[in-house]
This record gives sequence, C-alpha cells and structure tokens, in this order.
Amino acid sequence: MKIINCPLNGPRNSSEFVHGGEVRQMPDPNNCTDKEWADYVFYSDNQIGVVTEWWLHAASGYWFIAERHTASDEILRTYDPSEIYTSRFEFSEKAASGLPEEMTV
Amino acid sequence: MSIEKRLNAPMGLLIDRAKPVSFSFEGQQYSGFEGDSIASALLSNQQWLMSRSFKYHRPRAPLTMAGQDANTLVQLGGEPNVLADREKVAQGMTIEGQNYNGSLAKDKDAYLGRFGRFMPVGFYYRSFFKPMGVWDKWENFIRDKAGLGKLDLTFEPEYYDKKYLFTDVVVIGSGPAGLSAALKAADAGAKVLVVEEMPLVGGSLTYNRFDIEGVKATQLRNELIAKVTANANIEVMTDTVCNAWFTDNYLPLIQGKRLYKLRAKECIVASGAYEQHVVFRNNDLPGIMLCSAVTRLMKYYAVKPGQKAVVLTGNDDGYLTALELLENGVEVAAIVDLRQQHPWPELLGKVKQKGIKVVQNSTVYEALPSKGNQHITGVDIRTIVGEGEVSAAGMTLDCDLLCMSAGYMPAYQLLCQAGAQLSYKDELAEFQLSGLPQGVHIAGSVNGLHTLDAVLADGENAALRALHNLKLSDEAEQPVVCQAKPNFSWPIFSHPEGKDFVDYDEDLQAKDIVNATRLGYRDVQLVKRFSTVGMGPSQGRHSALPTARLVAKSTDRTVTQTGVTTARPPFAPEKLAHIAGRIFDPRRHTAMHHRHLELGAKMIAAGNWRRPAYYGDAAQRDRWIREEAEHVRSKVGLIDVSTLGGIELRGPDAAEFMNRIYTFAFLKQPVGKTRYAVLTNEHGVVIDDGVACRISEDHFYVTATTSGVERVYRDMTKWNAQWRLDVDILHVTSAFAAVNLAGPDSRKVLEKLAENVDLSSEGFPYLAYREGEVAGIPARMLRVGFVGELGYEIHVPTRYGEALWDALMEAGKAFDIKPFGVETQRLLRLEKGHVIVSQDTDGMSHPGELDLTWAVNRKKPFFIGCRSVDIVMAQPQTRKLVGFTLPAGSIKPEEGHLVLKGDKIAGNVTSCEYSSANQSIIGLAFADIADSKPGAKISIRVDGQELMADVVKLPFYDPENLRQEM
Amino acid sequence: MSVITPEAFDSRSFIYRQHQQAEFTEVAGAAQVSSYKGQSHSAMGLTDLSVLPRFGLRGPAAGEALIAAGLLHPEQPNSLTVADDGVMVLRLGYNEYWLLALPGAEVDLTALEQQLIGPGIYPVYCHDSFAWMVMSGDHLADVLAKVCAVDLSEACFKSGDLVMTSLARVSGVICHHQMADKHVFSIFSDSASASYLWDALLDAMGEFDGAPAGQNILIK
Repeated sequence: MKIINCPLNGPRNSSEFVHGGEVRQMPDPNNCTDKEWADYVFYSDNQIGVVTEWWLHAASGYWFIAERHTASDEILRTYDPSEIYTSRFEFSEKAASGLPEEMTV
Repeated sequence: MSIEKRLNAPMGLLIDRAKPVSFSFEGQQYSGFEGDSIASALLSNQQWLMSRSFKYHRPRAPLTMAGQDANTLVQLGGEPNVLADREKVAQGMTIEGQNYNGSLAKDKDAYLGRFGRFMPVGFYYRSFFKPMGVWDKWENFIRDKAGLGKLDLTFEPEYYDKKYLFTDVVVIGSGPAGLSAALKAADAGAKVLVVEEMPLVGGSLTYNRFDIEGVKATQLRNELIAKVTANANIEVMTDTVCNAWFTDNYLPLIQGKRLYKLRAKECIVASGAYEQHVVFRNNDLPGIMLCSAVTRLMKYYAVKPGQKAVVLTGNDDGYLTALELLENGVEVAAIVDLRQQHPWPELLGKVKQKGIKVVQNSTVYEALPSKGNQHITGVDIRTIVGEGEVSAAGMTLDCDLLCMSAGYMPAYQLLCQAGAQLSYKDELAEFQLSGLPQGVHIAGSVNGLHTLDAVLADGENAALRALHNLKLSDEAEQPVVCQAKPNFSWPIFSHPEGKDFVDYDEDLQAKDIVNATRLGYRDVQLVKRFSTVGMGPSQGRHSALPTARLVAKSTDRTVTQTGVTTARPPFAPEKLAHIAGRIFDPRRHTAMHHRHLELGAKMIAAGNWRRPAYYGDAAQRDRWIREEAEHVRSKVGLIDVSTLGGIELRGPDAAEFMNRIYTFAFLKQPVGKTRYAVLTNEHGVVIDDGVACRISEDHFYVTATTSGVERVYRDMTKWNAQWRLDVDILHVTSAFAAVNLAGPDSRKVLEKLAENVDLSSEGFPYLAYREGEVAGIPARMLRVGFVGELGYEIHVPTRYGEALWDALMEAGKAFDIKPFGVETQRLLRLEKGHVIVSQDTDGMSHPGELDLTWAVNRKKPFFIGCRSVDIVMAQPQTRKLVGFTLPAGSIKPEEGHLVLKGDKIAGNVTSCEYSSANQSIIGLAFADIADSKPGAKISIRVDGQELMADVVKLPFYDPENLRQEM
Repeated sequence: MSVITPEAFDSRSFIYRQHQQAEFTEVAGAAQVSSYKGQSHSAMGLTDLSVLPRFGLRGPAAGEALIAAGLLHPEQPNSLTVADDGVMVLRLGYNEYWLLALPGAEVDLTALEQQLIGPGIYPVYCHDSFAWMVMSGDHLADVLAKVCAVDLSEACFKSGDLVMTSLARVSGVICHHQMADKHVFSIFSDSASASYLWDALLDAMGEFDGAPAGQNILIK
C-alpha cells in the first residue's frame, strides 16, 4: 500500500485518505459559455504527467493538495491548500433574468 | 516397512530423537520424531510415494524437501493440499494422499499416463469449447478427475488475525547474504527484521556444503547466528513467508495463523535461488531429487535417502553432494557431469580419491522405473553430442537415488513484483535482476552470486545502500567478484517417448512446450495460458527456466526476449483465513439501541448503523408497519432518528456559506426557523437534502441523510478550502441523539416534559426551531413535517439519548405512545409524497424532475451546480417523478420495476407500499413527461405483466397539509 | 449506602451495558466504573472514561484564548499537555483543542468552558461525539498494532504525542500520556461505534491478558 505524506499528519497509508479529484479552476459560472462549463464539469485531461489533486485525510478531516505523477504514481509534493487559495473568493453577480423570485418558507 | 536407522548427529538439526511421534498415512501407522516433516518421517519409513500427479496420476515423491514442489501435497484431516515436506508431523495425525482413484499405491487412474498422447498440450483448452454445449458433458468427468483433495465443509473456523509491523530495514531470507546484510545494517543503528521462510536460520548454510571438508557452512552459520543473537537491533522471524511486495515496502508476512503487515523503510531481498532439475525421461520417479533436497533430508532430519546414488550435475555442488552422501553411508555409483570441463582440481581429486566414478559430458537420458513407476531402479547414461542431443548408446547403472542439479534460478518473485526486470546472461546461462525501485535492494544468490565470500560481501553492500537511504552511513561499497558458473546452459534432453517433465505440477513435458509454440502461442504468457505451464502450486519455480529456454529456442529468440511469466502475489499459497483474518466490521449504534432490542425491533443496516425497521417479528412485517403507521396517524409514535446526519456551520460567513452550498436562499432565513435544504452536485443532480435550522445569525445546524452526511461534510470542507470564508464546519452526527415524536397527541406528550419553551401552535409553529429542556435535558427542537403529522424532532447530546427516550415513552404512556421504525417512516412519508434522495432519485435527477424547483433559488450568484441546473432546466424535460396509485387488490410493484411508454422504457418505480390511510397501493415512479399530469395513466411492468396505474397529485394523504401544521 | 448504577443518571456511557461485574462511583452526574470484581492489576487494562468531563473548542481564536486563560498550550499540532491539576489539553490539527479532566482531578471544567468563549471560538461536542477509553499496561504498541497502521512504538510515538488515524476501521484519536505514573494510551473514537471498538480492543488485548479495568488503577 502506498504511503502519502500528509502535511498535517505525516506519512500514512493511502487507505487513510480520500481522493478529491484534480484541482481545477472553475470558470465563472455566471459569465462562461455552456461549452466552457461542460468542459469543466465533464472533462478531465487524463494525461501522463504531474497532476495536482485534492486529498483528504479522513480521520482528521484535513484537505490538502498533492502533486502526483500519473505514470510513476510518485507523489512529488504535498502542501496545505492555503498555498494556492490565499484569499476569500467571491462569485460574480448573476445577470437579471426572467426567473421567478425566490420562494420564502 | 523397514525403519531405517537415522543418521548420527550432527545430522538431524530439526528432530528431537528423544520424542517419537506416531501418525497414520493412508491408514497405516508410522513413527517419526518431533521436528520431522510429514515427508521426512515417511521417507525414514521408506514410504516414498506421497501423491499422484495431476494429469497422468504418476507416483510422486519429494523433489525439493523445501515446499517448492507439488509432489508432497497431502490431505491432513479436513485440510487439503498440505505440503508434507513443510508441515511438521504431530502425534496422532491422520494423513491421506490426494488425487487417486482406489488407493494411492494402486491408482486406477494411472492408466491416464498411457493415454498421454491423446491428451496433448492444450487438451482442455481446445477440446471443450466446441461444439457448443460439449463442456456440459465433460465437466463432471473432468472435475472429478482433476480435483485435488477434499474440503471439509463442516469445519469450524479458527481464529486467524492480523498485525502491523514496522522496521527500518527488512531482510527477506536468513542465508549468508541476509544475515550479513542484517548485521551490517544493525551495527549502523538501523532496526532490522529478518524474515525466514524455514524453521532454521541460515539458508543454504543449513544444508549446503561449500568446502571439501564440509565444515565451513556450519562454522560460518554459528558465527553469524551468535552475532545476530547478540545484536539488540535485529529481530528474526522464522517459519514466516513474505508473500508479496507492495508499494513502498508494504509486505505481507504470514506466520502461523497471523498475517503481519510489515512496513519497512528499506527492503533487502536475499531470497536465494531455486536449484533446477534436469529434463530427461522419467525425471519424476520417486527417488529422484534435487541435490539440495537430499542434503536437507540428511542435515535436517538425519534420514538416509538411499543405498546407492547417482549424482547428475551441471556444477561443482553436485560433487560436494556426492561427498556428503558418501560420508553418510550412501554408496555413490557415479557422478554424471553435464559439463565438459572439470571442477576445481582439489574437489575432483577428493572425489576420485574416494573412488567415485566421474563421467564428464554426459547426462542421464532416462531413469529406469520399478513396476508401476513406484521408484527409480537405475539410469541410462548417454554422452552429450549436441545441445539436448545424446549418443545413440550409453551405459546403464543401478541406483535407488538420483540427485540432480542443473543450476539455479533466482527467487525473483518479490523483486519482479517490485518492478525489477529479468534478463538472461547467455555466458552464465542464468537470469539476473535489474531495475530495482528506490528502497529495494538485492543480495546473495538471488543476485547471481554463489561463492560464500561474494555472497557475504554482497549482503554488506546491500545494507550499505539501505543505510545510505536511511542516512545512517556513507561508507562506500566494496566491489564483489564471483567466478562460479553453476548453471549448465541446456539441461534438457527430450525423449521420443516423452515423460521428460518440464513442469511436474501440470505433467508438462518438453514437447508440450515446443508444440504450444508451434501452434502459434509464441509469447511465453500465451504458452502459459495454453499449456498451463507454471500454473500449478509451485508457480514455475522449476518450470520457468526450462520453459523460457525451450520457447526461446523454438521461436528463434533470446531467452531474455522470451522472459518468464509475470510473478504476481501471493508468492506461496495462502489461506483465505489469512486474508479474512480478524475482520473489522464497524457497527454504529444509537444511544437508544438497546431499548429497540428490548422492544423487539427488527434491526436493519443503514450503512454502518443499525436501525429498527419496525417492532415485531419479520414474518408479520406488513402488519407491524401498518399498525405503527395507523398509530402515528391516530395517536402518537416515537422514532429514533439519531442516525440523521448533522453539521454545524458557525461564524460570520455561515449564512453566505449555506447560500453557496445549498440550492435555496439562506441569507435572509430568520433565526428560529428551519428551511428545507437541497444539495446538487456540479452536474446539477440532487445528491442530498436536509433541514437547516438557523440557531443564531452566525450559527446554522443542518441535517443530512444518514448515508450522505459524510460526503456532504467532505464537500463542504473542500469547498471552503477554496473559498476561504470565515466559517467553521463541524460534523456533529454522533454528538446528538434525536427522536421524532409524531402524531396528533405529540404535543400533549411533550408538554409533560418540556421546560423553557412555549409549545403552543403560535409559540412554536410548524417549521420553527426552539431550544429548551425536555425532562431536564438540554434539547434542540424542530417542528418538521416529514411524516405529515404534528411532530417534533428533539435533538439532545448523545449521552442523554437513552434517558430522553425513556422519559418520552414514560410520559407517552397516558397517550398510548408506540415506537415506530424506519420502514414505517418510509410509508408515512410516501403518503405525504416526500422524496428520499437516492431512493427516489438517481444519478440524473435534477430539481425539475423532482418538482423541487420551489427549493432552488436561481437568482443568487452561486450554488453548487447552479450553472448545470440552468443548462438542464433550459432543455425540454423528458421525465418526471410522479405519484401513482393502484387499487388495493392489485399486484404490488416493487422498487425498480419498469415504467413503459409504448415499447420504450420511460422510467421505473422508486417507492411503493400499500397505504391503509389511502386504502390503495401508492408509489412514486419516473414517468414520461407526457404522462406526468394527474389523471394520466402509466404502464408498470411487473413480472411480465403490465399494470395500468393512475397518476395522481401529491401528496396522497392530507393534501391540505392541515395535520402537520396543527 | 446505595449501589450506584448507570441508569440512575440521565448522562450515561455509550457502553455502560458492557461493564459487567462493575462497581461504579458518581462522577459529574454519571456513573463511572471504579473497579471490576476480581480485577487484576498486573494485566493490561482497558478503562471506559466516557462519562468524565471534557469539552472542546476550535477556531482561529481558540489557541490565543487558551493561552490567555493560563492553560498549558500544546505548541505543536497533534500534541498534548497535562497540567499538575489533572487538566489535559489535546491539540488536534492546527486550531482544535479538547480539555479533559483526568480521573481524580478536582477541577471545574464547566467554569473553564464558560470562560473560553468569544468571536472566532466555536464549541466542539467531544463529550458526546467521542467515547474515551484508556489502555494501560506493558504492551500498548503491540496491541494497537493489531488494529492500527501507525507505528505507536515508544521510539515513534512519545508521551505527549497524538495521532488522528483509523483503528479497527473507525476514525479516532490516540494520545500517549501518563496517569498515576503509568504510560497510557487515551483513545477517542466515534461514540456510536464505542461498543464495537471496546470489544475489538479487548479482543486485541486478549493475548496479553488484557481485561476491563476501573478508573481506580489510573488514580494515584
């Protein structure tokens, strides 16, 4: 079984971790084209090379990022997501449309 | 049966002559000593025959005495396929042979050997696929003939378990290379674990002879063991097989009834090499053994292997074996040397001085059998005139023992699993390993080194490489030189009459391999699948090398190009019990679990949880569910909903976070109110739902489905790792025990227990959230309408859960309170038309299909899946979840039954039950959009029959929702 | 003197039914096993401390608040401190802390809990989410190696260390510290799985003569 080096908990068996998919940049959902959105939702590059992935250490609930080579399966680096995501993220406003008002309950 | 006197000490390292044991084999009584293997005890009684071969039912006896062949597989009580040359004999054992018809000695199926030419290679493969159906005719016969051993289906499972182990350096193999590596590593401060498959430490030092005098091995072994014993950093595990190599040096070690899962920082494989047999006619007769098997038999068990021996060898080790035999009273009729060149002069001189005849450049062409092939009686010796070719005539010698050594094959299995490659060195006629991954090292004869000095030095070098990685030493490696060339390049002498076995396990002869290539199976992997070579219990330990040579030659390729078949785990057969071991199957219980059991609940699994389905015996399921449901509708019921997922969101951005996660709008949700929360994924598919309580401006308590909460929590924390909102996300499922007190009398029950909360319909209206005390226990209370009656969900800290249940049941006595289970709850919510996500939804269900658009705010900047929802909702909808009814007496559709539109599948039934409140069968189903309006009819196919159901408006029960809002 | 039973209290251990032949004492409004009849002191012991007081807090301001309150603050993530008054502070990850009163400690955790509130501090319900079991004896690492894939031998897992990992396939927290001069492992694991884990740990301890033990063996 592979060992993954968690930035918080140190090296652990891969069975302690949950894969969270590739780190990807979401296109602006309110301004991108349908095709850009579909690319984001449905397609992944799936190429040989270094991929940047989300991994969760399940027992501590800690998400981190790993750079892994898809051919050798070697994990080159792991780090806290704050290295990439440094500040609060805001979404753009949605353009007004003819959609009905929100229902309040 | 004459009992041969055992050889004198120091022969017999493993046996305790003071402790005789008796056992039975094939119904006859035998005696041996404690420490004997079953095979050695039988051989000491001159009982050579131990099994019948797989295909031809030929008599077989030990070949390796090391558990590396299938010849010694026996039935030990209820356990089949026990290796008689590894299993220790014990007092009172009952042992039987396997794979015979009649008796082991007189196997009625031995005739199959004479039909060999009608059972060509690939016989099974080719014969039973065409014509269609022919396999059905042959299957019983073949299964009857081909099975090995008998399973005892009444066996009692025994306790097997698992344990993790950790070390700096693991050394696989305790031969001279392994011990030398272990000492070097331990001396530098590494924690070392040595793993030895055999009961004795020392590897080849325990049985092999390295010098003319025969003293060096024992001397060196004693020295090494003394050093290892004195070294506190070294731990040794004997009788332990390392059965695989997995990534990052994760190694399963099997010892007795325990599977150890070892994690080593560095791994040194000093697994040694397998001595190889010579291929000639009748090379499988009892009395034909590898040289190492004969020396093991003498040194371990003090068993004299025969009276008159012939040694057939391609290296000097055969000469040393001859000396060993002679010293133990076995006459050596001749050494037949495959080579043209002589061994080293002193050795040749010594052998000649002892009067042993040496025949160079010759081979045994055929072993001569006794009647019924029961034992070897002599050999036909021929001069080698070309590769695999011999002179037309030769000489015959009588013997009752033939010892053979064609050279060695590295025990490459673990290393190849680790990613190493095998390449064949033509000049050495030997496979060598290269391309080891980081942290894996090789030492000793597995590395193609055979002289003791070279092996010891190689062990130290491997240790230095490991120490370098561990940063414990920067000492440079010493160059290692080994002049020995123990492999004879072509020890294969095909005979026109066959029975020249390449693979003993599968009864495959030289021509079988060659024929496979002629039939077009040129790749060694295909040769294996076609011929079954290497598929038997010994997994190619002896067949891989001759097969590679034969395939290479007949396909005009090099042996390196040909290679060997993939060595997959496990290295040696392992029991399912080792893998199953002590199974960890976590169960989750709510705080009220034992109360449910006391009340006679039928418990069912909900993920890891156990929940009451209903209270009563399973035989009357429908009755209990109906009664419980009617009770909730008419009086008051209590259900344990502790398994419901719970997540708390706290902080200045809690509302903003809720707003981004769920489809609804949450920024303006009033404090003290609950709101339905639907979660879609990025594809716009509904994946979970729950109820969000706003406890304060910056504090939300959200429920999630029992099975979905883990994923919801993970998704939330992952999103916020990107968004960096000022919100704390806490998974609180286990922190709260919860019940739903439901029914027209629920308020009256709660009034008896609640404090600091106004329960009036104005003070605590439908969909409100309140905090207070219930029976003195701090409680969160939600007015929810899941089952469609006046009801309160009460959440308390888990440690108080049982006391809460007791208090409510006690207070409810006056109102005839009854508990109800999760299946009853499913019926009640179905009557209200409420969807259960993942039961009534699938991987395509978007909010529009589920009539949940009211719970989706499409104006806010973002929620997960918002853009996908917009895209799919802009397209024409094709299906919809609808409510349907069927008359009470109709056949009841089950979940999954198809809904048809003409001859097309439009959807399926997702929920269906008989509702006594509605006096009809009610259900939810995906239907074609054209059939989704109330008044339409849908066709449901149930076991070939088509039922026409009425589509109705939801909910089925109390359409005005008056009851839940009381 | 009346006999104390778990069901006499509203607050109960998640596994009180598993405590056969137990003698209880009242602690913090619940019944704590003080000892078992015929309890041997030499064997490995497993003690259920689930009812003992504890609370948790997390958030960006949690660490500062602990320091301000004069508590021993574990400097490294995944470590713990034990103060002389018997208050143990666990630091799980970067900014979550649990405060626990060791058996016999006479401290008022409730007062402390009310003191440790404010912006950027969020309560953690570790008293209810997690069962607290303590394993004592000479073979702690050996026993845990049968249920846990992390090396917990003395060389790798020192007193004051804490790991969050999986044991017997349940997520949990294992802490190495001392009580009554004994090295012990405190194990915190999902309260809903407590019954399962209690049995799994006792099973693993079997080969070392492990048995349930009351809190008395953990008090000087």
